[in-house]
Amino acid sequence: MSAAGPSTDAYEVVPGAVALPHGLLLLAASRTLIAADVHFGYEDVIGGALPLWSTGSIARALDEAIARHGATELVLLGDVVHSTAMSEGAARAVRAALDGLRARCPVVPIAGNHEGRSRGRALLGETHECLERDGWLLLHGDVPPLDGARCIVGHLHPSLRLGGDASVPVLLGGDRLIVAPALTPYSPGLDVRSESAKRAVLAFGSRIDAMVAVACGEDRVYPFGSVGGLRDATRRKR
Amino acid sequence: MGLLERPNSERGRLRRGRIRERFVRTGVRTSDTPTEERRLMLSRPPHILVTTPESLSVMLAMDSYRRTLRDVETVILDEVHALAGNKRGAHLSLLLESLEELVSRPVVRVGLSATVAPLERVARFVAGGDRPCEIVDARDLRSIRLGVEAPFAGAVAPLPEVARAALAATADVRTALVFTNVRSQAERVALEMGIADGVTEEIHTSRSSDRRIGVHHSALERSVRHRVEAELRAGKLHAVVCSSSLELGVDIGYIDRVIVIGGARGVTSTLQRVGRAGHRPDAVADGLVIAQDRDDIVEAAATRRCIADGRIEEIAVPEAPLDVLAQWMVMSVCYDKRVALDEILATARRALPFARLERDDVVRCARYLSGGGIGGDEAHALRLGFDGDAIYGLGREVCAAYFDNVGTIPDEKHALVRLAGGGDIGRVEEGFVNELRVGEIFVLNGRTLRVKEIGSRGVTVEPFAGRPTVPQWSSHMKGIGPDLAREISDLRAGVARRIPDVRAALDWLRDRYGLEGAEASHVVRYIAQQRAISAIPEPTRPVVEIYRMDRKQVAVFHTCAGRRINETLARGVGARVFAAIGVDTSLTTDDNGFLITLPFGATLPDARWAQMLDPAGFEADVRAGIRSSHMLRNYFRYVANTGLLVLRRAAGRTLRRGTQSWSSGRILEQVAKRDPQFPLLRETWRTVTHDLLDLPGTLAYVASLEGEPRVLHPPAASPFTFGIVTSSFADTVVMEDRATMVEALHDRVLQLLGETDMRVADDEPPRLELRYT
Repeated sequence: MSAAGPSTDAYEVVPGAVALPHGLLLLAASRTLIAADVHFGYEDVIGGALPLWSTGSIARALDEAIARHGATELVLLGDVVHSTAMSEGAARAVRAALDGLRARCPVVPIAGNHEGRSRGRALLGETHECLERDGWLLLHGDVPPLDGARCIVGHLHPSLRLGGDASVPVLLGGDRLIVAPALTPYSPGLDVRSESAKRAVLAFGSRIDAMVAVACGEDRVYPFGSVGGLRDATRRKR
Repeated sequence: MGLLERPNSERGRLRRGRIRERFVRTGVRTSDTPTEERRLMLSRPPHILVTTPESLSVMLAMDSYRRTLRDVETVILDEVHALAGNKRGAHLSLLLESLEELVSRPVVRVGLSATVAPLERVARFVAGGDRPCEIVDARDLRSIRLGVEAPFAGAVAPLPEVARAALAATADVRTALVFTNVRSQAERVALEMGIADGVTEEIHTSRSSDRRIGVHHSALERSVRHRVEAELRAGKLHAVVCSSSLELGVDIGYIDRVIVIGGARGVTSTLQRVGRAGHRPDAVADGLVIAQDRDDIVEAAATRRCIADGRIEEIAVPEAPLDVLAQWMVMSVCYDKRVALDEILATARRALPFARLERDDVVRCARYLSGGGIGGDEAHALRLGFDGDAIYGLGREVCAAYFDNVGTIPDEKHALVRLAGGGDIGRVEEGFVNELRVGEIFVLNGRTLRVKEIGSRGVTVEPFAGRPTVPQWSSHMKGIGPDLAREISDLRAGVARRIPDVRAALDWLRDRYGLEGAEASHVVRYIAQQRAISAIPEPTRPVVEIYRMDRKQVAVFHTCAGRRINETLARGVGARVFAAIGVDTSLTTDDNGFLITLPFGATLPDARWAQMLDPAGFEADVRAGIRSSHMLRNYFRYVANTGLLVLRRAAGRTLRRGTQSWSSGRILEQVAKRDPQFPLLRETWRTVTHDLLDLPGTLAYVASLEGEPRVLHPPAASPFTFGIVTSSFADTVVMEDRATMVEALHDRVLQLLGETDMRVADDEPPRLELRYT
């Protein structure tokens, strides 16, 4: 497994899968760009008195990444919207953001638990439950696949808590499972060193300690080596 | 709160004297009132309406009710002391001004209160503006008897001893109330009292014994509480162990004696608790403090002195809370009224909490509520319209958000506790559940329970016979205020000055504090030990003790400044320590001081510790300390709810999770980055620095210090540190172990001092000279 290394602007976490800033993932062979848990419309759903900051900033980040990496499609890996019930104004803004991205490349939304029973069709158009790309099964990950396929999931919002309220999104990479972090800026996430994270990953048949953790900043990514090593290192320091 | 009014038609008839009014209609309107009843209330308005600030704010927003409210003649504010000092009261004060704008003649306002101070300020709160106001002072502080008993020989009383003493104190009376400071302790004390009384089963199931003991606290289901209250009134219960839930309001009938476990942590709360006894004119209220440690004896004595002097804690009225203002502004324009900004300002300023409201803040709130103003970006949901001169309502639909989110009471999250076979037992705070693990044992509703399962919807438990493993809910521990803290400080210093002349010290304790016998001896010995091992802190010269514990450097600041100032001081000192060593430290605070544990390997020299309370730049350091804590995030959650930034409930939309699990910390971060002047951000800071902590009091305290504190290295944990040292282990140490721990610390002190028994001989007063070698 990969060891910790210097920060870089792209890191191949397992062969053919590249971790990018913001917690994006690029599948090199098909040039599929994957973004998990963007939770568009969050501010509207919690009351609407906050401007839709996250919708704009995430759309901008995605737009830049598509252009920079020449992505042929963008897969939104579930929880594309924070709730399927949002105000008309917010729904318009979310549709506009998606249309902007569609003008760049095809956008393929996968439904997550936040898409609810309607699977978000009213807002997102056709949505998928899962897809296959480059030998990986792409799905949201609220329900692990029964057949033990190699999969790429979101849902868990993996992160590294930095003390206080600060945390940084972390992409987890392994041979049979990749967990992409949430793009929404509003989630403090699930610390990859925690018991809950260990249990959640085990549900997919993987051991979190053996997975590679890549912390994702806005411009660079920071490979930390294995989660087990990271836990030991931070425990010693504490 | 009650509103008195006479329906127009009847008033006319009464005035003409043709019909004598024979029936007085009363009504109750709270958030629980059924729609049908509300409708009835509109067609036949009650003469007396009992309601809450939240319901009044709903009524004032609705035209149908406004027509009825126009005839209100009198408003009675009951339990004013429970309102004047908080945001709910600030909200009410604005609502009363709105009501005043509505009525044809000025409303007569009557404020009723239990013990409260200062009267002038509270009177201004009730009256509003510069309206004339008459104060009727019917306080009688002297008709209270407050005894103190220390059921221990060493330094601390184990809980079973405390319970036994409490049981003994109820032996010669018909009914007694036993107060504890934390809810879980109510459960534990009741359990132990039962055990001491030979009961082994659940406590308040029916038993043939004539000494039944009940439990009452706010975490219990309402039906359980009501049953206990009813049984108490009917004389079916001999004693009820309660937390502050029975301090006020609830009708519980005649109580012979009030027993306070530990201490009430305040003069007002002592008066309120003990005042529940002897509810009859001329009867002396009979109260007894059962001290759990020697600090409790000192506190009881100091409290007694304060009561005798009529010195009770002063209520501070919150200074212009902007979240409350924002909510009230939305109400003022429902559904489509238009109100000039100057009128909003003038009306608000008549409410005491908003007397010094700035126009700029009204403008900022209007801008925010009308969709702009956070970083210049536009929001999606507007709460009202604003054209620069006036704010205006945006119709019925927009107001729905207001109706669903009225009020200032934070939604405290509770988890349901239910038996494995079915049946709810009560609720516990979410924070308590977070610390809980499967297999642990705790007490609720008088029953010992073992955790079987912890789910997202609650805790499943099974009855269990055995000692609890979980210490206590610590979040509801009350702190003492600066005045009582000052009296405690004076008592300590006064005794210290008289030692080694024990007789003089005892005489002084008797004359000034009414303290005699074993309790007085305890206090003298306590202070003599402290003086020998370390030093006695003085009001303007604190003592800093440096220890090594678990191979870490620990500093204990003895300030005697009261809980809120200590909390604030600790934040400032914590930030200074962080600046010095670059690592976060852990802080523990209590009434008499605070404790800082440095991380392993870090130390600071005495000279640095001595500078930690330097007033220069202290405010900035306190703010830095707050910024690095969870306080802002936690309170932003409440402020954002009250100020309608984040909604608790949204009509017509089912929010599966959004409102429940929004990340206040992350939103706070975004808002702070985009608009540092955002009114709700500033309000969060004000809430933390003024309502929760006491920044102004703390700055005054550090400015009042004469020179640097004394920095000492005692050879063993000094007696004054026992409480705080053991509470710094609060998470891991259960109550019994804490008592054992204090005894161990005490034994160490005795060992060092080689102290012999200090008994005051009849003829020859001994001299107590303790010295360690």
